[in-house]
Amino acid sequence: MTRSNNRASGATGTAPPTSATAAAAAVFAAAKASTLDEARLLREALARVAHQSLRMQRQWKGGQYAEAVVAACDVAAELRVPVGVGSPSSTAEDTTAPARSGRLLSPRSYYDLYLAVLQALRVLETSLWSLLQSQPLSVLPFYEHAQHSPYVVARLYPLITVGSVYVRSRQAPAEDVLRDLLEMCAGVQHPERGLFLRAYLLQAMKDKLPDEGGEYAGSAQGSIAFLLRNFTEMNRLWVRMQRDCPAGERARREHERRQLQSLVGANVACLARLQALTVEMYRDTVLPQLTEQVLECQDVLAQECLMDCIVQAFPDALHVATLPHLLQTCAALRVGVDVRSVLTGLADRLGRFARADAAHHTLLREADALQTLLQWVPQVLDSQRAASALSDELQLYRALLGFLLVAFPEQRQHCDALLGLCAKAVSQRLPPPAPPPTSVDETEDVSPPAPTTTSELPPTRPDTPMSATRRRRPSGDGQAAAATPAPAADTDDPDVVPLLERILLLPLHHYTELEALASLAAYPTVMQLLPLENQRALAAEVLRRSLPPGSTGRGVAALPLLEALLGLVRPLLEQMPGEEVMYHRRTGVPYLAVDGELVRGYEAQQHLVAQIVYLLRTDDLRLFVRLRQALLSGGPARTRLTLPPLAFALLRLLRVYRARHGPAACDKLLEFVHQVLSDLADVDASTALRMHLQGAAAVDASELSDDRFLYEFMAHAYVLFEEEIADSRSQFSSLVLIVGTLGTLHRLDADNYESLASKAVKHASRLLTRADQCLALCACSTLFSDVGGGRWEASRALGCLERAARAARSSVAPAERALLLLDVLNRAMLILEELHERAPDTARDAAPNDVWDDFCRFTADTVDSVRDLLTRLEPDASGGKAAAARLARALAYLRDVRELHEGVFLRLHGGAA
Amino acid sequence: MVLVLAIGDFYVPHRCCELAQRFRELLAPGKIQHVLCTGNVCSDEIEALLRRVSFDVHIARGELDGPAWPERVVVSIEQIRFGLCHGHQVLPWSGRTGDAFTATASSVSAEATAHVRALHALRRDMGVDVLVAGMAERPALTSGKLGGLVVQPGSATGAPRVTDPWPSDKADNSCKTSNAPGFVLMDVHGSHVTLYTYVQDRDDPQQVHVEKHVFERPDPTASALLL
Repeated sequence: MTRSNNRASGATGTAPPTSATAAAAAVFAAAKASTLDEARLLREALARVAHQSLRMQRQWKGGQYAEAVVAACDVAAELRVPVGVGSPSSTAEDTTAPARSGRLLSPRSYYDLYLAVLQALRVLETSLWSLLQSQPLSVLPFYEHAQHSPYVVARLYPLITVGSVYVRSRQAPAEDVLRDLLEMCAGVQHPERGLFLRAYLLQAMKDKLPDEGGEYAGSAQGSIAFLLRNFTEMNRLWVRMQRDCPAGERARREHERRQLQSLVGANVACLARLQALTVEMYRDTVLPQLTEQVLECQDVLAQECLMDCIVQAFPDALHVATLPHLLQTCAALRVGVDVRSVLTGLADRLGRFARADAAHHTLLREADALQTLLQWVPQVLDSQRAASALSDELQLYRALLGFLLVAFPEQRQHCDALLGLCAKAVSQRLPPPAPPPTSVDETEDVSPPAPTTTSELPPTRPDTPMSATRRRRPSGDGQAAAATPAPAADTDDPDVVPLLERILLLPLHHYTELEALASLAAYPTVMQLLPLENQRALAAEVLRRSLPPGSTGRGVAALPLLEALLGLVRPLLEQMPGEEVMYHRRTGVPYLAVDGELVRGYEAQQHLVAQIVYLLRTDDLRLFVRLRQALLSGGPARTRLTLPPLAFALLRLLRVYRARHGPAACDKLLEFVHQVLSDLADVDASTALRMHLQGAAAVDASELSDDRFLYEFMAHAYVLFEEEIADSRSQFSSLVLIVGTLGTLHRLDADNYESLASKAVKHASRLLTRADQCLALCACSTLFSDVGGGRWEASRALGCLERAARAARSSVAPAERALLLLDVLNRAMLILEELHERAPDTARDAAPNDVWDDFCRFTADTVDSVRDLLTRLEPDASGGKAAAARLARALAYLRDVRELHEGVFLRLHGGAA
Repeated sequence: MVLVLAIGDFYVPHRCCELAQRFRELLAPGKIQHVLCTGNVCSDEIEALLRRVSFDVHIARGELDGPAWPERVVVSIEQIRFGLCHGHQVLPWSGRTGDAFTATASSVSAEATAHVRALHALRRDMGVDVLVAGMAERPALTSGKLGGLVVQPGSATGAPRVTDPWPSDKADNSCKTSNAPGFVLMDVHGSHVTLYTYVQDRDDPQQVHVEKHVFERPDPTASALLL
């Protein structure tokens, strides 16, 4: 009594703070005392059980069977110990015989005691069974002995034990024994004791129920009736546990009831295991009775647990047949029941059912499972609106979507509707001051996002000047970033974001065709609820799945599909508030940064974006135009990576475009390429230059009759070289590429070639270092020495080489001088060889011409110069050794191909050695 | 037995979308000792893939790579000196193609085009026995007049060039229209190299055509006299 008083004063909380802590301490002490009491009580009871059990076994061995059964009654009598929670007074009237000063066992401890008693009874059962095997005895006397105890509980446990052997011995029909026991169990109406007793009844009898194909004779109908009856009774007792409970103990009592739910559920599990249970029986008898019980008891906990139990226990095929009934029951459950997890479980099971076998699909179709679900689920949810967490709701949608995609993949409109529900659920839970971007409620939009961000974002209209997005100030971006939070990141629930991701990945995994995914209008809407990083990861996954060769998809051939795809991957395309562009100090290459820090890993995602162009299976330029427009919204750090593949794909299209639409249409294409390349030139001049060269090569190969565009591409490359490329290393490598490309162009008009080639020579001789000048001039010599290609101007080729040699000799370091001259020498030797190979007449026979002589003399002079330099070099000077080795290799080759190089040897001052 | 992989010109994503799955399977880690990459790796993912293939990876700079990698590399493996260079620096480009290789599929072809001749000149100048270079549309092997070999592994992704004709006149930007992807695997044993050219079938991505060639370094005493 003092305990409960203390507890009450602690609970009221009216006492001043000092005494409140004292009261709390008292409650704690009381709780501790009660557990100590309980432990002692349990210990004592267990000791008595052990003692009585031993006595029983001794007597059995001594042949005193009747006494042994009576001893078993004494064992079971220990289960009469008072059990329950709450104030002892409430159960005082029940606790008659061995009640010990109002002390109580919790159901948990009672369960331990119950197990100990069951163990003793199992001994009795096996002993009795082996006795019956050895002697032809009747079980009936034992059955009667067991009823000798004056206490109901003590009498019934051994009675059930003996009864189970009675059935097993087949001396009595199972049905009769079952009915008898069931009647007698009704004598115990104390909630916990009754529950445990009936649980024992079920456990002892569950393998002896008459069933189709079972060992025991009798009708399966009887078994079903038995189980239903037992279930009904147990459920009533279970619910009553709560009714007898005072308000203060509510939570604790609920916790204890949850621990006992499996006892009640065991009936349902047993029903589900019956072989004889047909669809008709389930639909007409079992389920109606079960649900009637569930609804009648009006208990939140019981409804929740039992519905879950029903959903999980029975085979899926039965659920499919009774879906409307089940859902109707769900809708009628009390407010506060976690009906979402029940439905989630149901949908998950149906999903697995559909996945297991293709034949199940027709079953689901015949049962109209989808329509039923979609018709009832909103009603069920409406009846429970107030009482569930967002993550539970999303969990349900996840399960439904999983089922839908497996069983009815073609029902895209429903998939879309479900996604819409997800979006609605999330946006409804958001606090009003931070609403999601307005576009959340729109479907299928590719327009600029929320008005709040439009001012910060580059507009997605065509022909946006790139400069508008360059070098934006980070301070303003920071504010904008704070103003548009990612909606789902707002919720405190850590499960929401992963759940939304799972929901969004489901259609991605099921729809291999991009069209299917694109037809889900609500998909981008749900995506926008995620934090930006997750949005991007998901968009990257969309691309990874649709890009060849990862997919078998048909690609994108029409504008609406491209629009939808761009809508899906928009988080990757656009520059978001808070992002800025940083330029590499030396190369001027733009990178993406946030708060002054370079963003890692964005390049890999942008490489995926860059590959969108490979999805386009069309020569409709409008799609390419739209793609360019979308890519441009990403800002320089992205377009640097995404534009080159677009330009390349367009150039590659040129040939087929010409074949299909005629040469005149190519102008449009090439003008568009120029546009793309001028966008690229703003962000990465060096790559743009290379792409212009590719453009020239493409036009050259495309059989276009005039060389306008060819010249245009080359001219642009020169302009970029002159105006945009400042780094001297980059200048050199770019110039070599220009010269290399120019050498391969065949369709250039002679005058145009002439002006471009002399421009190259001029640039080569104006490079910064002597080494660059020398090497570039060597490269330029090839522009005039293509004997086979008909571009053979001996004097100009030689002129280039002589200028190169002059540049080499102007170099200050002697070793470098030697090395550069060796490069000139190698080039001269190559020209000799080319000349000999391609036009042997010119080389030798046709009138000892000056050209051959000139080249031989030049080569010989160069060899002499290098030798001269090397003799004057310190033997261990850096580069000296390398130069000597290179010279030796060159001379060895000259000697080995003597017939070709005779002219050179004749002119060598130092002789051949 | 030392396995050396010659591979390069990936151009992902500039010209092509992906390295073929079949090649990813072939390039499993732990089998190959050295990788000689001719450049145009372009993406970090491909570089990581190469570094998984072997610990010893040499990459030369292609025209689209950054300045991090060298223009030329020389590596000695067993008794063979390997040179590595992308080849866009080697002029002229005219006549660069793998045609010579397909014409004489069973043997190593003699040097033919101006570009290949220039590559051989570079090989002589670098003083290497085998020069690995890029810029070919499919694997090509060419021997020099006086010994020496130029190995062009082609493009590992089959990245097309703007000048390549389309296989059909369908407008299809997918990777199907690209060239046959390929690489060259070299088994070096003393001064003896067995070369295997791998070319993926254009129609059946699971099928890979492998051809075997042999290269023996000429007796070095002849040139030693000159040195």
